[in-house]
Amino acid sequence: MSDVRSGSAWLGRLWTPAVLIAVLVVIVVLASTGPGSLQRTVTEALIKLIVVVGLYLFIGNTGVISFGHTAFMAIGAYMSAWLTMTPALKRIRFTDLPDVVATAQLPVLVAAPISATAAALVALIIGFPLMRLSGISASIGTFAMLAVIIAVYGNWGGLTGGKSSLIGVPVETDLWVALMWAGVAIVIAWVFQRSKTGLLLRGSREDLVAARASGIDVHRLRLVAFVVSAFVVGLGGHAQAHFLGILTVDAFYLDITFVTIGMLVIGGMNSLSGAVVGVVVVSTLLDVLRRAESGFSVGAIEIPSLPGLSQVVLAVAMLLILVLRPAGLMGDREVSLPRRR
Amino acid sequence: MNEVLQAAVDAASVGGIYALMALGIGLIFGIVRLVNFAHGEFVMVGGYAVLLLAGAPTVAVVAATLIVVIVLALGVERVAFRPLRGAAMPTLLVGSFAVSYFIQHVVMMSYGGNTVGVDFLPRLSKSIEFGGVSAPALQLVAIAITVLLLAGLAFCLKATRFGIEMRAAAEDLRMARLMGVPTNLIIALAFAISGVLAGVVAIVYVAQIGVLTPRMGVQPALIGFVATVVGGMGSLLGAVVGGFLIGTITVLLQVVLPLELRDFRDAFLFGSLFLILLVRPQGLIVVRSARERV
Amino acid sequence: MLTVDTLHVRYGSIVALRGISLTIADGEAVSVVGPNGAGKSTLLHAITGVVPVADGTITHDGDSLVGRPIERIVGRGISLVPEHRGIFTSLTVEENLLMGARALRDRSERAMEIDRVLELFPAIRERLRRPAGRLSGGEQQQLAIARSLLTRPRILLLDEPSLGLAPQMIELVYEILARLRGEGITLLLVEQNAHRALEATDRCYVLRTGRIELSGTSAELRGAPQFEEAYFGFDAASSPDDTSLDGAP
Repeated sequence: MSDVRSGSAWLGRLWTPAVLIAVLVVIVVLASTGPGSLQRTVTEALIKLIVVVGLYLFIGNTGVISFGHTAFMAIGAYMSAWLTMTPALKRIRFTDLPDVVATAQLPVLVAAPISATAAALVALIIGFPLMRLSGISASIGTFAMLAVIIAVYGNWGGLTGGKSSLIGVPVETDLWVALMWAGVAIVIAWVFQRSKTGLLLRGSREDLVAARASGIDVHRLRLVAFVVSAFVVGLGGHAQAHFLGILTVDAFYLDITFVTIGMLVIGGMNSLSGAVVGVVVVSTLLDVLRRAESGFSVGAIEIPSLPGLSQVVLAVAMLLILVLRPAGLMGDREVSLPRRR
Repeated sequence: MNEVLQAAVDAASVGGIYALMALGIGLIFGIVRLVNFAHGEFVMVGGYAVLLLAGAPTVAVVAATLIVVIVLALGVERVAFRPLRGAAMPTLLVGSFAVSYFIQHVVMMSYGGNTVGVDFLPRLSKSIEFGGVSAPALQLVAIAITVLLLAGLAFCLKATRFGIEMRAAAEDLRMARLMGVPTNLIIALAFAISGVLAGVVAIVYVAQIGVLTPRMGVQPALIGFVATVVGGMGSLLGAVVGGFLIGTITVLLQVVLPLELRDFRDAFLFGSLFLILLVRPQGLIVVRSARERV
Repeated sequence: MLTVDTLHVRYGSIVALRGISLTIADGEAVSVVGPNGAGKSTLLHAITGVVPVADGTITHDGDSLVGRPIERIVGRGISLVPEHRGIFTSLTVEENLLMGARALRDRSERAMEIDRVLELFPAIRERLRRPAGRLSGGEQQQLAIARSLLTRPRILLLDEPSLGLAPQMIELVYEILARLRGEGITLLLVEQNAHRALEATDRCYVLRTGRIELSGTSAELRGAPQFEEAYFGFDAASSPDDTSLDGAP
């Protein structure tokens, strides 16, 4: 193969993540000129993007739906909070923290990989038995996992503040930091799906029996995907923790699970571009709907306040996509180089 | 000895409710290969129906609640699940999740997200003494209803024509169709039965707990799902066994756990179920025909 | 009268049937033979509505079957005995039979019909209460046919009835088919075992990779060299004392 051809092959391989990140950069640049509320909305969306990309890394490659990934978000968030809060605060409120953590105060950036790794470790432990279950059973298992972690975090006041919020987390996630982590997430996901593990996994999806007969250890591959995806989602949790500076356990439970899965489904479960497109489209939709929720008037008609409208519409949108176009907006395809004819 | 008997009664009543939940979920899964996430919402809507009808004579409340839930179940099947029939497993799973969320939020929009108190069948909270054991009448009624329902369902499935056709459809839907079994009718029937089961659970729950929230169906549904997984997906007997097993473990934990750890009972419950699945990932009762596309 | 005209069936991008045409008149016994993967099962599945039709027509007594739901097609008296029997293994033998007789509402009529059919299959009669999964392959095949007969079919489609059966069982099954043929039931038999099929039916179509290579009456095709060629796709009838193979002069 000539140098030129291998050169453009390389370009082809990097095209998708490059385009996706470029689009995000454009959005962020535009938003940075806007009002603070817009910047916050976009930052929030970018944080969700990190989570959705992490979720995609697992679902897109294994074909197994996970309803529990926001548990890793919670783990990453709380771990990062614990590592970066002032020890004085921790000594008063969070007396059950192990000394190592309670006395530590790390810079936010350093806490990021540590908290993501914590999430990955939990994924390794739980994933080991979980990935042996069949597809549906595994999916139910992830839901149970989420319920358990939320229950533990929600009841362990000495660690998390229990039902009340955890405050005092240093706020550092702005537009650009969120963009950075989003970029990192996209790159990790891209590298994974092009790696041997990713390719083997995708190939095994179609015919599990044939894969196993060929000697492919599907269990191990799924576990790897589970752990790496937990790492990415953990990063999202980290970003979330330092966005508001306040954490509540319930914020990692049903609503965020539904929104992130909805984003992935609408964009397309089987491609990285789908994940990104889904986040962009749904975030915009939700933003519009939220404004509509508080009631507005169209000409002479008064539309009353309808809290919960945005979720109902999102649910309907998801169902429509599933019935009419199950592969999502991107339909299994990635953003790719325009073909030279 | 008394404690054991007491615990047994507790386990039977809790397990019975879980078994009914698991059965409602397992019945649908068996025939349509769909994990009905919205089953918890069937229960929740049933609860709100009791709220709406409170004050009316008990029989009317029970009957009306069951009707409401059956109608909801049939409606959900017709509008959301029928268009998805034959779709891939992830699509079905996420679709049913979306339906569940939809119903939760519609109720939230109508009633607000806050807890609502319901006073239903307060007479049944009176305790009854027997054999040295004291149990609220409601618990005993719940056990009786569970036994009756399970027996009734088992009889219907074994002896009636529709029962046979339903079992055939659960094993091989395509072959059942080739025998001329009217698929839509059978599936609708399954959802209707599932609705009855959910409605009964709702009535018992409301009477026992006395409060309603739009999210109240999530926890019982989750236990129902896990019960079917542990019991063996695709097996109705497995669902019932799973339900009673979880009920037993729950009660055991309640007795055995020290006070400080009581809040984490659910964590221990799922943890122990996890261990069971470690050893036996396919569940306790395996159904050979439980095919599944991953 | 069942007519199939230029039928195309696809599974995704894979073409299973490419423009198949055949007819079966009432009371005829017709076979479709061909090697594995020829599309024989697909043909039966297309007729019964199990798989969708990409192009072409299937008509029964003038009515189109394409796009109709399975229940409707089966309700016209078209009954399929599928490959691997399609027995409900979790049901008893009796319950399987009841499934077949489901159209008969009257209890005593049902009992009579089941009795009548069981005369053809005495082995089944002794095992009514047993779970159908416990029967041997041959017994299951009998059960499958018995069950289909209870639907009072006008056309009986059989997908590889001899598959996986011991030779005596195959004998038995084909005896039954001969009897049915004698009673005037229309038969469409799909088989890999071409010679058996020729014996059992009046006409035969040879199907290979989705196309009909050859057709004719059983009498015509029996022993005809083109028959094996059409089946295997090459001239399999080379003379055994052809010396060019071993190189001897």
